[in-house]
Amino acid sequence: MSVGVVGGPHHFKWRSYLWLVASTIVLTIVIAEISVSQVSLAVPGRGLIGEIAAATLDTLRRLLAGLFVGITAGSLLGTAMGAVPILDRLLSPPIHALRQVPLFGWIPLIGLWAGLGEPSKVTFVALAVAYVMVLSAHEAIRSISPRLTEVSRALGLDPLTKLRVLVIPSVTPALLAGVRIALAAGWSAVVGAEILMAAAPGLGALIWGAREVGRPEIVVAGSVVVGVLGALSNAGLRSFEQRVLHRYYR
Amino acid sequence: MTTKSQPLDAVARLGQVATWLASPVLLLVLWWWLTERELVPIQILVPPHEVFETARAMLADGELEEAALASLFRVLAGFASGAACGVAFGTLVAVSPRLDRYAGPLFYAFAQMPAVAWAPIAILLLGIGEEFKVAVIGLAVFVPVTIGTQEAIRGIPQRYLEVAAALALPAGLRFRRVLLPATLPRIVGGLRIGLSKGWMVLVFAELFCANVGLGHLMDVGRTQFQMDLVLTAVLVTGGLGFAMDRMLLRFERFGSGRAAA
Amino acid sequence: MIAASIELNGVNKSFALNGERIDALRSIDLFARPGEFVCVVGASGCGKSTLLRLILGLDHADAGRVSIDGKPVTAPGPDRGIVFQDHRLFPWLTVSENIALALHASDWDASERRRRVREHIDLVGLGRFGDALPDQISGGMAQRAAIARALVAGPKVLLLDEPLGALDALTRHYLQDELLRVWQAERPTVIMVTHDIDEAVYLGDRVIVMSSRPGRIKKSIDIDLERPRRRDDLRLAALRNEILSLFDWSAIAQQ
Repeated sequence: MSVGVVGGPHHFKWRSYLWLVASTIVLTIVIAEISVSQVSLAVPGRGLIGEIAAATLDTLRRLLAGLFVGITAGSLLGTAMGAVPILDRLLSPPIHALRQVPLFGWIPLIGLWAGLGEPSKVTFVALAVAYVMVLSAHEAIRSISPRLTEVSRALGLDPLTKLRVLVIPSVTPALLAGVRIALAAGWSAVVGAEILMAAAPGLGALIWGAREVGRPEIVVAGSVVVGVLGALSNAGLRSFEQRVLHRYYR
Repeated sequence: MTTKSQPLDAVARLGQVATWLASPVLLLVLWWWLTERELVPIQILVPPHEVFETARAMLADGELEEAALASLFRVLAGFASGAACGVAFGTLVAVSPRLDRYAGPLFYAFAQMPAVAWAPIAILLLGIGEEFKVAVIGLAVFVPVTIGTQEAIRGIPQRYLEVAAALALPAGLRFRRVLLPATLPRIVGGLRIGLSKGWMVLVFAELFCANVGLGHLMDVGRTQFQMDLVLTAVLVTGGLGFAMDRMLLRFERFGSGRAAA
Repeated sequence: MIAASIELNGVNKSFALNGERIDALRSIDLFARPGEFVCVVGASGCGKSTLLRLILGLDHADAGRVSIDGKPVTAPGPDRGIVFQDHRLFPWLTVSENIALALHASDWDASERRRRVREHIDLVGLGRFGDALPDQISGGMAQRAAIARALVAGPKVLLLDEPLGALDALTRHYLQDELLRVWQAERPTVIMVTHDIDEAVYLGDRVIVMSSRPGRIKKSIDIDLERPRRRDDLRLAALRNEILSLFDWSAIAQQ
């Protein structure tokens, strides 16, 4: 299957990188110019960089906590559903029904249940991540070829060898792809939660607060940081993914 | 794909309906059981009949209808514009490798940005009215539709094109019988992802700035500690999203069925 | 290596398919002498593959007895090797890693294992391709690797489930002779399921013809021809015609 640049960064050349940087800068300037001309006061704050850096750390911490909890819980549940047919039949219907609720619909519910504090935000991020991981893990387990499973039985492989040569290589691609989708979902969730569940440090809150007090340059800078970090974390994960997959599919 | 409706299909169809119904029914029963037995306190989960009462009251005074229509309008407007742009742009980058090389990286960076992070910038540019909501939904729809369209067109098996060329099919027939059925599934796949992203962003936008809409209802419910209101809005949102998703699926079947017939 | 005898006594096996009960095998009695090359032919769906799965221990008979050298079969073991129609090599392991996998439970030490893998790669003529991945070699070569994997642990019984069915005619002819060479080198007892009657009479000491639904043994025909055989031997043609005449063509047309 041939997928172009739009599908991912795998065949970036240096020229493409140059283009990426140049076009991002131009776009940023254009947006900043328009917004500055729309909102009159635009004196850059003194501690802008520091403020953004601190907010970034808060956001990252929250994102990582949510990813950790969400990936662990989601993969465990998905694996269990993939491996045990009864669990699958029992849990699939309610999970698919719950999936119809748009992600941010959970925020008022979580707000009612647990308030708008830090645990609620991390829970929300974890929920967004787990949503994705349950499905990927389920998919991953089902992508184990029954033919190769039969060969493993015919060869009488012991459980450990089976895990090493059959299970892990079979599930890794789907699982890693799932983690990458989960990461994107996590970014949406963490930024969204910071905007919607007020009174917290973090990039989302910083951007939102800046908009309310009329500091467009912080809004733009903060948004660009979110975009760049999102792109970087995705690219990093993708290159990690390719290196791992390279081990199995040289 | 089988589109022919035989009497034998009726049983299968009934089974399908049953599988659809199974999940909501199961969830409802669980919900009812949990609240009826007071296994969870009422502040955490209100009983289903209370939500039903609220929904009926809101339906009677038109409040629910107003909110649902407002939300539906925003989603439809955003979806239509985002999908149209996505199909057009996706086709362009699929057909022109040169455009893909130049626009690809920027699009890729753009796609990385969570759709919700566009909201503050969009508010700066467009103000806090309808335009901004439609625009952010459109952006959220645009990204997956572009990717789906590009992959769909790139993924047309060469051998089909060769058969079409060997049969010297005229352009119209080639489009209807070869190109459309070969690309529709993946394009619709992109549209479906786009639609669910669109609903997600809609709820997000309405939660923090709207005077009307399902997300606004959820926010009101949260601030006034009315869980029945929140759940009503959540259920209606989920139901509408589900129905629209089904319509897209039907569209795909109709499209490829017509083309294959 | 000492080959083993294979014995099936009154074996029945049925399973449910789409709610319908299918008699895959009914009252099967079969005895294969140690070192014998037995070919099983029959129309598709006659339970030939089920037969192999029972001998391998992947499935269990509903009734009757399956034994190797008089010992009942309960589970797969290193005394039996199998080659499927599709090579079923692990796509992420090299040819030699795939072959070595069959030695995971053997008593041999690492160097002896390496030696055996090497030896069997050479035996099937894959000398230069030990480090290749399955995707990088042709279908015929992959199937040879699968044969090496089935043989490397020194099984007494080699089960072949239409191993050459998916290959082109030239490769198939070539690999038939390779199979004979390998069999003569290691002398396991072979049960080969095939739908190619020419292949069966060319390779087998004996050809067993099965009918389908229920899967029964219709006839066992000894191929008393000296080896090496010639493909253009008129006696082979006569045997083939005899076997063909046993098939119920109206039933085959229905399928």
